Amino acid sequence: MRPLATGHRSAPLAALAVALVCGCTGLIGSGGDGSADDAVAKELCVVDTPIRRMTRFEYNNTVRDLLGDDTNPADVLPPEEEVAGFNNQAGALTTSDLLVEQYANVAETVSARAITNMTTLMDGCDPASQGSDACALSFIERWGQRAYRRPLEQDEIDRLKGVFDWAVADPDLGTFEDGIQIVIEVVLQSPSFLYRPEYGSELPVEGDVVPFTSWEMATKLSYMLWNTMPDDQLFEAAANDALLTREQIGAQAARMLENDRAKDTIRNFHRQWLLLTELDNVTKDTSIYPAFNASLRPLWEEEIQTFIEQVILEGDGSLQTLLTGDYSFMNEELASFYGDDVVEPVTGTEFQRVQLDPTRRAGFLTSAALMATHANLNQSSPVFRGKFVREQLMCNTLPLPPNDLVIEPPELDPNKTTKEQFEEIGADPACASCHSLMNPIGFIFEHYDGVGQWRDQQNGKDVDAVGEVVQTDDIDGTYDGAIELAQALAASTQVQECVSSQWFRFAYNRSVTQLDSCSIEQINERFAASNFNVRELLVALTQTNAFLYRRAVVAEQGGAQ
Amino acid sequence: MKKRFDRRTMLRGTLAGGAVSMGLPLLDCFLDDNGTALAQGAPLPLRFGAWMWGCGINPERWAPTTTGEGWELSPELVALDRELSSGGKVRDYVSVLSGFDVTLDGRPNFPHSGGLVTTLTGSVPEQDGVYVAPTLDSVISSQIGGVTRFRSIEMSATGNPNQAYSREAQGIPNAPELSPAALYARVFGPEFADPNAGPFVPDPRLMLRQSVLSVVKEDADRLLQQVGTHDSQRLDQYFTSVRQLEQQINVLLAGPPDLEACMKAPQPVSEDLGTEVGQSKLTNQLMAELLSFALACDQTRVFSMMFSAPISGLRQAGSSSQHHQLTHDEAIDPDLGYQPEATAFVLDSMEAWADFIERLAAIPEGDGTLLDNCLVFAHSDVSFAKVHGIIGLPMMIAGRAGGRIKPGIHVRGNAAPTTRVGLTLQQVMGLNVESWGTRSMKATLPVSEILV
Repeated sequence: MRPLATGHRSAPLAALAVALVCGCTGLIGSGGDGSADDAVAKELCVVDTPIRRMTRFEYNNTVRDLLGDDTNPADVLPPEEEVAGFNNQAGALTTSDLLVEQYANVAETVSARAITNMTTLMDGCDPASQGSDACALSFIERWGQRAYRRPLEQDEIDRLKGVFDWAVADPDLGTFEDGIQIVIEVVLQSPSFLYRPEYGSELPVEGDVVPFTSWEMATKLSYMLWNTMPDDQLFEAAANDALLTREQIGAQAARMLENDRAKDTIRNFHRQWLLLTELDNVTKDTSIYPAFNASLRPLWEEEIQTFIEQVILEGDGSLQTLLTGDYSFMNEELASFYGDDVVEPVTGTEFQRVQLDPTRRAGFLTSAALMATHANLNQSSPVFRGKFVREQLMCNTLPLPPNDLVIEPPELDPNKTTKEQFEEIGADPACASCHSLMNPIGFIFEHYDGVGQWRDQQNGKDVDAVGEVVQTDDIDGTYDGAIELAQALAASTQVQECVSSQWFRFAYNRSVTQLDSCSIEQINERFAASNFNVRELLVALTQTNAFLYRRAVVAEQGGAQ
Repeated sequence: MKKRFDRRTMLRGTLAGGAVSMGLPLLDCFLDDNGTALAQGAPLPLRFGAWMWGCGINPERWAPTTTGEGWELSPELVALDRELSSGGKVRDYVSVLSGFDVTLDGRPNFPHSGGLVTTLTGSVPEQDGVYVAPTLDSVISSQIGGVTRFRSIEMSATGNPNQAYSREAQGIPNAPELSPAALYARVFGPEFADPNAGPFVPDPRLMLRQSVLSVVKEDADRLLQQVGTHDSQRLDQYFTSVRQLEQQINVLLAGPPDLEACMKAPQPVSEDLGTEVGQSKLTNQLMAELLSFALACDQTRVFSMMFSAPISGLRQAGSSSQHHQLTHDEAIDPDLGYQPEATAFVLDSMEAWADFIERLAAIPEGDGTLLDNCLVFAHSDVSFAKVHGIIGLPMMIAGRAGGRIKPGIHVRGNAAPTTRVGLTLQQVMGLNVESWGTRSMKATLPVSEILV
């Protein structure tokens, strides 16, 4: 019925772990639910993801789309644990008493708000003329299906109707609205809403490997590409059982990337991958950086996010442009912060596309958001910048400094450049083995000061932005300035595969495992074939066996209690 | 939905008129004629708490030079010299435990987590941040937390939501309350059964919630039977918390606690959340006050407070230098012999600890104070933070545990494992445990010096 997976080919785990000489480990985690001894699942590279609970971000988006509630009610919930760089990792989305208590509170307030708009909820059913029972039942079946993202079973309908009847029959509650509210309250706390259970269809493709049902696939696609529930078109495709073949799924994915909801996901990913969450804590010594004020931080974030979003969703989508593009988006205040680097006049508070001096700025890498975050209070930080490139763009894991090492960052020296100071420190053999991996990369960014403004001179000396990059797969060499480095990074297989592995973890809500090698290889091939178009990468993530199949569920007998 | 009829009856009664006229067997057995719970003559509850601060101490300046009672006040424990309104000083109620070590048996010393995890779980972690066993407070709450409204209350004054102190088995974090206002709403919100508010009228919303939860539970149970083994373990966490929420409602519906010291807490003054040390100290004070009322009303018997995180993000007002960063970066002043800026945070931490204890001593209970019926364990993640030291991990115990321990003693561990303290705490709390911990961290002897 559906084309079977391409066979397994052994692939090097190139993107997984890059051990550096100073002793690093990769990011290989344990994956899904299945035991590893199943030959068919192994052969097909099928790895199950643990059952997923919604993140706060997904909850907010979901009630927005389900009930029109745009108050971000989940912001009060306890935050997710961050694992492997992301807060949406299935294994870490555990629960606590406090969380479940707050789910109850949130469900109360959201359901109370929801029934202030009965007309929309009822979708044409009028309890006065058509009868309270009929409208309640139709609401439960229709709205319940959207909330649980699948048709309800009869026992579920009965339970919800039962609680509706209970509320309506009570003289002190008693109204139709009370009944609807309590139904919503129950549904918002049901694990069928809060979690994404997946069983797969009954017909295995081979052995105990089963495809997902169209309903499950609609939900998988939607939470992966939109971080929210499916839209009407996905639901329609699910109802028509039209999310079965790779072609059907790929076509939906491509359609979904044209929709504005993809922006939420793109921003959510980059906020975490590029550590933009750290921007909130950025402060600077204004005696050294008078241009800094706290109101710049949201502008910096908006700039980098708008640029990325535009490149991926509206532009050529390429990693090359993300890393080397000579344009950006800013308003007048931000443009004046960048000064001469912006080569066209900018007025007003609205963000607009601007041309940048291509000898000074390259893609997101040289943005103030990154340069200011990865810097100290009163000076740039070659260490932090090098570490950022190593860890986030090259997927290296750098070890922590040894326990017994006493680290003293240099005092500001008015007679030396930052590079000169850090070169002296980095020469210490105790530091050099690891810092030679970071500091020289950081030196390449020395034209950007501690807030990310361009400088040709520091302390009366010409800035020297030459640095040697060592121990990489494919970009070892000496670079003068970040423009050169950005070009090299964009062409680096190590960086390209790092980007796809970051997306893998974020999209699949789990770490990469040994069994994912053929999926990884497939994604990387397709990414390369598209000239490293991130849109294509996202579609490719919907085409792997790891995404399309799971292992048949062996149900726990008996349940709780 | 078996109890649907009962709940509806109750609901009608409460919503229709103020006073309750309930003919329900379930509630009858809990209530006397005045609508208060029957608990007269029962001993006062014994409570356990854990309180931590990050980034340790300067061992030579923190540990007292004399042992036993009346220990010599050390430079970093001056905060404990504070007078209590109930008589005596904070230090009279605090035993200091110095010189207890974490031994790694060759495993790596994961900075700021190796010593912490080992001391709280009894086992040295094999991977960074991986807890193989629940933390002490969870071990204790699983034994004594079942009868109160909350199994435990977790609090954090760090201003950082991404830090969990209390962990269940498999390292599952118990999310902490970060805001005093939220803690107040959670414990003393409208559904709180106030013993001083006239005749008990159960909040009708509680019964509504009960009905909602019973359906949610049926849904969860259905799902539990369908998913695979691993997923069902994860869903079971959810299920367990839903049952805990039901337990809360049952306790609330049973009427106000019959405890003389029980009063509804006043609404906290306006909070100021953040990572400045003054903000964390205020949060710690406000939460300690709310907690003291919650304990006096037996809303929980187990609590934890993370004053500052292991990698402490505390900073002075207006400064961006974080406590943790300073412990590594700041030079040791050759004249003073210590790092002045980093050490300021140690003094702040000890003041916050004194604030916390002082607050528990401010509630009269029985013949003494609430503190007399508490056992509060304080500790850090390291000794000397600059080198991530785990030799001589600083620990303290406050309270009398209902007369089971002697307070105000300095005990030198002489390199005994920190788990001896954990074993002692469990035994004092009545847990039937003869040894605790694994490998070199296995403890079989309690700290007998503090036992009565």
